[in-house]
Amino acid sequence: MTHAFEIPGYVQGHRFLDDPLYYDSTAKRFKDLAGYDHLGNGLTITTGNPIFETVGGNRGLRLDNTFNGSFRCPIPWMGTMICVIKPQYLSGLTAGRYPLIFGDAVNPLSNGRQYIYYTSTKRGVQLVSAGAQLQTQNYRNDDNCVVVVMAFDQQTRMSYSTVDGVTIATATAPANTTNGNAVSLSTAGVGVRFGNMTAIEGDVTQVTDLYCQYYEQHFFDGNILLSDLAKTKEFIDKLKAQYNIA
Amino acid sequence: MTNLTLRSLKSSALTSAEIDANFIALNTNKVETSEISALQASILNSQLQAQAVIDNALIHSSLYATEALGRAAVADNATFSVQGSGDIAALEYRRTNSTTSVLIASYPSAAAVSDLRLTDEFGTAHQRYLDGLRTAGITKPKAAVVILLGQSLNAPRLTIVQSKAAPIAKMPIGGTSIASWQYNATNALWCGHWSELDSVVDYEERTGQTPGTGIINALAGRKFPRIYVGNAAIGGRTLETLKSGLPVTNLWALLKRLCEHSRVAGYDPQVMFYTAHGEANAGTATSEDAYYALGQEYYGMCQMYAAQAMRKPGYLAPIVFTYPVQQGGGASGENDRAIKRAILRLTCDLPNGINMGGIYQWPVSTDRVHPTEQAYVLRGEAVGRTLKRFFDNGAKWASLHITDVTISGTTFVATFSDPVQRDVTLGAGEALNSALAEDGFEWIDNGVSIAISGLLYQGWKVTGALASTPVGTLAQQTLRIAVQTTSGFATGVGNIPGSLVRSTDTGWPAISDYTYTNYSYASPQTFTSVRTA
Repeated sequence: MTHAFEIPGYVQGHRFLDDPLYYDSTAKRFKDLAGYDHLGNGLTITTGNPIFETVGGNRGLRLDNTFNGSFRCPIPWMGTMICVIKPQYLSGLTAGRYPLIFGDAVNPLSNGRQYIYYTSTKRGVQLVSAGAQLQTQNYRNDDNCVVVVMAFDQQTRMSYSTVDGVTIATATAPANTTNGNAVSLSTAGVGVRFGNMTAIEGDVTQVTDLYCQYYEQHFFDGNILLSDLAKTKEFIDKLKAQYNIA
Repeated sequence: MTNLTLRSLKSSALTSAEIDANFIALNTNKVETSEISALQASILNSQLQAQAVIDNALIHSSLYATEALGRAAVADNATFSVQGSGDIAALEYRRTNSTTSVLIASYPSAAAVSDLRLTDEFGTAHQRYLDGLRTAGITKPKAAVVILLGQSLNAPRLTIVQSKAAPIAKMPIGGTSIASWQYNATNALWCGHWSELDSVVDYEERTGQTPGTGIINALAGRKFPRIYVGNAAIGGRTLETLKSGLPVTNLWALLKRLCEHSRVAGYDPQVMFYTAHGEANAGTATSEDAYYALGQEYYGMCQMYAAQAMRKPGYLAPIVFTYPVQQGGGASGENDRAIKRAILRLTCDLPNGINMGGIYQWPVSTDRVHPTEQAYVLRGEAVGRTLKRFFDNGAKWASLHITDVTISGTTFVATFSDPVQRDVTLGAGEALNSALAEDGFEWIDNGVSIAISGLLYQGWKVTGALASTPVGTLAQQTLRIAVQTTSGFATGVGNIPGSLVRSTDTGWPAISDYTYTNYSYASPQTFTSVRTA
């Protein structure tokens, strides 16, 4: 059985259950499974109250913009993120929402972010670099729960993503040999903004077009899709079985 | 309402038959709430048995497809079971009336109990993971990963007087400092390219002098057969900027790559920081409390990233602090004094924060802000020596500072943290506020200076006479040392904020210049908790 922490470079992880093993309901704090919680690494809900719900037998958080919080960004320069997420389309022709915003640029959309979106033909989960110069790609045509692995690699200047550990989509950063901005997610002193789905700071209006159920997230300080693909696939398979993902 | 949850079923001391009987009784409404609670408590440690019983019970019980069908089939206050889904095998309801029923329990499915077994395996594996992090690399030789933080007192500056240090010291191939990487020589607010950090080379100063060589001079050898140095300092930047996006991203990149290089070379990395910061925030009139809060956030983040880069959750990197020389940053120097008070609090409150004190004993440029080139090296040696003490002896160097002040009439007594003596050989600050200050001491009575004279040094205490009896309240009395206000450019150590007060400890010769003796001079300080004698 492969766990996230058995893949080298594990630096942060949260499982979104209302269970004392994973969540301190008094502090509204999700514990860091990588072990750095005592260093201020936990995910704390600072506005509103987290909504836990069970959908399709899977229990997790419902991110609908009514509550938000933050955590320290574990991979500002390069790294990999694994998440279990279920976009939930409600209405409208197109919609995009931001479960995670990694930086503190004045324009929130100039920061690195995790992005979910819906169009009439597809929906997806992406990780977008600061300035949107590079993004991972995961297109779907349903609202089913999905395990997504997304990596940013300064060495290759590429992004990588997969939902099965077999087929890996890639994208290449703009030609720029002098800095790493295009590949970075960036960060901020306040940390990663969590659950501010509209990307409008201070906005807690419930979104009515697209929200998501969020079950787990795990971060690694390198590109595990290149360095530890076999173990990563094992972990993906385990998560897919755990969340009844075909 | 009693609700059996997955976690309540984690373990059990019951036999299969007991659980079987209890469950069937529960399912047929023969068990009271207290008994259900007892069942919850006793089910611990027997997931397999519990699951077998649950499966058996469900097979032999009447399960309704929906809550409505079940409610219609029973009388008021009777319970009924409904087929569940996913992790839930069945739901237990109590009928209130023909239109209402209340959920009183849910029972996990086989998959869920399987997940419970996974949870136990998870716990074991997670503990194994944490143990592995604790013990990883402990038998390997240690490599110091020294990261410089702050502003231009750490960033490369002026001409280079010592470029290389011990050959065991390495730096990123792109240069030790983010301010000298190829993408941006002066405005280091972008993040580094992989090529800057791809490999390491022998340490050398490239674009200006930094304390790096001095630190290496003092730190090399014994515990650390290898030293990696990275410099994340950026001139003229506030803590708000340094803790923001790309500067922090660069810091993270330095930590990650230098620790990786260390591990690849067969060493166990040990991260340590030296920060020289404060002038920029004095320039923006940041309050003491605000700077303290910023520092807690920024330096706490540095320690967390260090632990992550080392993959040692239990490691708290030491951070050596010094105080800025600058003492003219607006409001008659009060903005700088506020920053210095905040630094003192940070060194006291931040775990593994180390107060190395003022730096006025080393030569300063005429701008009364920046040390001279040679002073960068000398200061670095003191920092390296402080870090060496920390790692060799577990000692947190505490700079000389005032611990108590009493006043009686015109006589005050200042007690220091160590025995002190008057040393006129340096003469720092002697030309500043000379009519009112004495040996670097200044007395402020409700905002008005009172002249000091007749200082007497006796052991840990310095007694002085004020020209007049203070008229303000005790809370309005302040004794300052080494924070005289300055304005503009001036030459000579007498024009640098400082004092003649130093520890009686024997000094130590500089490594790079044996003719220069280092002492522990009184830290810049504003003492406000004056009490009556």
